[in-house]
Amino acid sequence: MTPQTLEQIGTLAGAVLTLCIFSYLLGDNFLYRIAIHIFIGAAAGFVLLATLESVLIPWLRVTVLSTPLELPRLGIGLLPFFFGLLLVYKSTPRLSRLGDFGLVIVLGVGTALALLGAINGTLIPLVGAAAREFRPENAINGLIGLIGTISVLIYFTYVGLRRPSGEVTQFLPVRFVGLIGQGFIALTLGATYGLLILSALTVLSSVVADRLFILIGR
Amino acid sequence: MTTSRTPRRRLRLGAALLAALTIGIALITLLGLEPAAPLPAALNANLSTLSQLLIQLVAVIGAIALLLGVLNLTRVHAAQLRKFPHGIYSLILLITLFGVVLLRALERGGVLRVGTGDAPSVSLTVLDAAQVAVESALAGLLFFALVYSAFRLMRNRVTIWNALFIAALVIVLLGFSPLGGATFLPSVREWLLNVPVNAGTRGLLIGIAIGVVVVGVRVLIGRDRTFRE
Repeated sequence: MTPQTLEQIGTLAGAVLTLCIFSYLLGDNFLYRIAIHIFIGAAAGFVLLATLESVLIPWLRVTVLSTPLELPRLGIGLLPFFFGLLLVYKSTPRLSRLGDFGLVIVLGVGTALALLGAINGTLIPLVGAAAREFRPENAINGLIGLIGTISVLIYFTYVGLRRPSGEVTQFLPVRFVGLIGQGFIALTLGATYGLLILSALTVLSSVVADRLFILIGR
Repeated sequence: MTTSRTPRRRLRLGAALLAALTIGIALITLLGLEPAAPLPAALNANLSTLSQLLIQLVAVIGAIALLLGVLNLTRVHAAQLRKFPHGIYSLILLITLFGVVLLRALERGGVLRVGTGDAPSVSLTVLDAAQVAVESALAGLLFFALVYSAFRLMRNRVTIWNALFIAALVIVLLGFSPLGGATFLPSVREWLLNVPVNAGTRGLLIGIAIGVVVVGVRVLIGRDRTFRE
């Protein structure tokens, strides 16, 4: 088989699978389900291969299979497999507590990474960007931006006042600013939705041009 | 005499140990990635090495968890093989999964080779045909779902928030369309995206980041209930 033939077969198979997926527009049918199950099977297969080839085999090579064999290196190499084995116990009700020990390291490292990521990657750059928007020539837009950011944050405030009747209500200023925030959220989600529609339209036109026109010989 | 009705929470040794381990690991990782100036340089260097090792361990544990997930998928679909008609779909899934693995194994073993040098590998062609094609078709299908949902939104109930949502949506769509004569639309779209939408997005992202920080700090001070319940 030549590379050109292989490429042609791949393109044709892709076009047929695309057509099967688009058949969903007529309703849920067996062609769509077949395409989806092929997709899931292929995705699972590639995930399995990527996991083995990019993570597990290199890890075993530098730890367990390295020469000369050292006990501490061997121990470190087998440690994630021990924790991974503990994760299996999470699915059994009797031994699920053992599985918690498998989660400890993931939760600890995950918490630290999430904290650093949220502070260094989101909070500091975004607060800095909000402050930098206040330029003399851009004062009105900067003010709108500041009002928008603060009001959206206040919209998600759940601090309230308990009335003698037992009903919990928000303070009037908080509720008012929250309403402005809700408006900004509506605008943000609407614009994001519009951008998403445009992206989907771009993908659709490219799919039709690249894959489906092949079937009709264009 | 009054008695408190709030049940006292018992301190379980296992839960306390788990919380202590989590806090210790989180602190080591934090100090390893962001060295504290008051600590000695040698200690900072050791913490940095230890945190790198912990991150590598978590990456390998994640890979093992993925492996377990694929094994579970295989087990579930193998159990469904006898059922009709779901068994056919499960069979197709299993054939594809093992086919991809077998193809790659043959390729790695040098048994399966198409062309020489820069020729695309068979497994990459299968990836392009099965995965990329279906993913892009599903993304294309999303277009119809999104447009229909926007239509349904206004059809069901009209509120001020729905109206704002649709107004922003229409401005963005018309702003990108090449309508003749409507030169102001792209500038309105630009302003909308750069000022109010940017502000709203920033507010949402800062809110999410504050939420992450709060949850992270709760874990660090042992107030998270994950291991206590």
